[in-house]
Amino acid sequence: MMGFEYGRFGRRLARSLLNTLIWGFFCTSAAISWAADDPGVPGVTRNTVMHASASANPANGANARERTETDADRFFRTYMLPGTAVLVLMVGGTLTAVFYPKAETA
Amino acid sequence: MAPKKNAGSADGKRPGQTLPPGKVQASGTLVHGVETLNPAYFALVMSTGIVSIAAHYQGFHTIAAALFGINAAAYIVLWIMYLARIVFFTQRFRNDFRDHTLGMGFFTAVAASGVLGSQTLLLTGRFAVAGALWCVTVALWFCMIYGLFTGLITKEEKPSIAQGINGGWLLAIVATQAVTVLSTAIAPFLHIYREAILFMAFITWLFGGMLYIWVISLIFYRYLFFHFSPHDLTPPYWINMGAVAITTLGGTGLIAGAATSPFLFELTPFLKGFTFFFWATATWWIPMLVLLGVWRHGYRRFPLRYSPLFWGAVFPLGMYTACTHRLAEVTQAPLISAIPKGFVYVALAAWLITFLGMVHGILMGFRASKTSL
Repeated sequence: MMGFEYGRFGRRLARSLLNTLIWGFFCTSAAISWAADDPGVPGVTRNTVMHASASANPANGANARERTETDADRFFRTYMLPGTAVLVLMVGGTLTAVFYPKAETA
Repeated sequence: MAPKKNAGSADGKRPGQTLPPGKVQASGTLVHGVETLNPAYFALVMSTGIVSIAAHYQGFHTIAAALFGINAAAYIVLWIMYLARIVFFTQRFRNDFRDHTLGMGFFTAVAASGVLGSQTLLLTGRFAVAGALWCVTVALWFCMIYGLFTGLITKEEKPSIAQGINGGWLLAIVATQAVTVLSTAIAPFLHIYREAILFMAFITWLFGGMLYIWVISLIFYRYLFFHFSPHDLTPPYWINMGAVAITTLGGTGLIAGAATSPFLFELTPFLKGFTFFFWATATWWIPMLVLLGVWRHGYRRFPLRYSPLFWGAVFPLGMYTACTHRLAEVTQAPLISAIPKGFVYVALAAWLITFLGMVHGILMGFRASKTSL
């Protein structure tokens, strides 16, 4: 009986860890690939889109002029995106560790 | 933080064997405070933050700065207590997390991080600190919104609507909109990622609005068709208004951001219309909540005693002041600009009374543990 419970517990823990890892890799890779591809859109496409729509409204014109990287942009790409992904992993991992092993006995 | 009863009991035994009585008293009360910490205690930071922002908007810069100092300290202390509770009282944390009435209180940690981030940016202009708080807010929101709801949905034994739902459920909306508000606050600092951040803010704003409609329908149903006593009208019922007020504030941030966002610019009429829709709903709630409060404490004589849940009543008052000020600012709407000038005093008074109640509660906790020795 005890062995059976530990077996179930082990499988449950392994499954939750696997889920956390899959989602963690997914979030991290998405964040890193987005950050690596500078503004998120290939340069040619971006220029074309901005060019085509710049005259449509005043916001477009202002936006096109402001497309230079600021310190805040660098901070966002370097720290905020990976930081958020890491925090998601940490909080998700903590909640999984706290809840899954005892879910049956709670 | 929330000592209410004698704390020099089982938790204080072990240190009591080696430490002098004064230290036993302090550590016993502290341990009891950590063990019984209400999950919604971060409402203290939410409320203080938004009252500070509202005071700043109305020109009370010294008060805003003082509240900012209190808030930063409270945020750090509460995180230490939360983490200590998870480590040392894991079972209590686990029970609270999967409790229909208490679990939603954990969303205050998300909202508190978001409000503190907005407050930091507004009062100090420190982007790095606000950025770090944005990371905490987004990560916590993501984990909580799926973690908490999954925990509650998969629970086999559930309470009835009459027992399970209260205004605290709307903290899920407040947390969601805290992401919107902070995202729209940091967006002007960004150039390359501004559009992406504003788009994310727009999505969370819409989702938060939808979630409000779902949850408030259940709350209204519970109010109108089930037995209702003064005991059922806990202070978080004020979040009925606070959740739409923060949605309004999120909408004002999006309207302001639309001037530099091609995507949002196209949606400006929609943003303005829906922001007014949420503001009107918040405004409708105020007389209703005052009447219910008079019924509870005046007519039915329910004792008015401090509880950490009262911070959930302070937050909407500060939020209504701030959102109305911003709405008048970004839409140039006539008539409403006078409202925050008066409402800010109500918010400040509510904050002060609740803060004094909290200090009194803490002192009484220490005194109770002292007399028990």
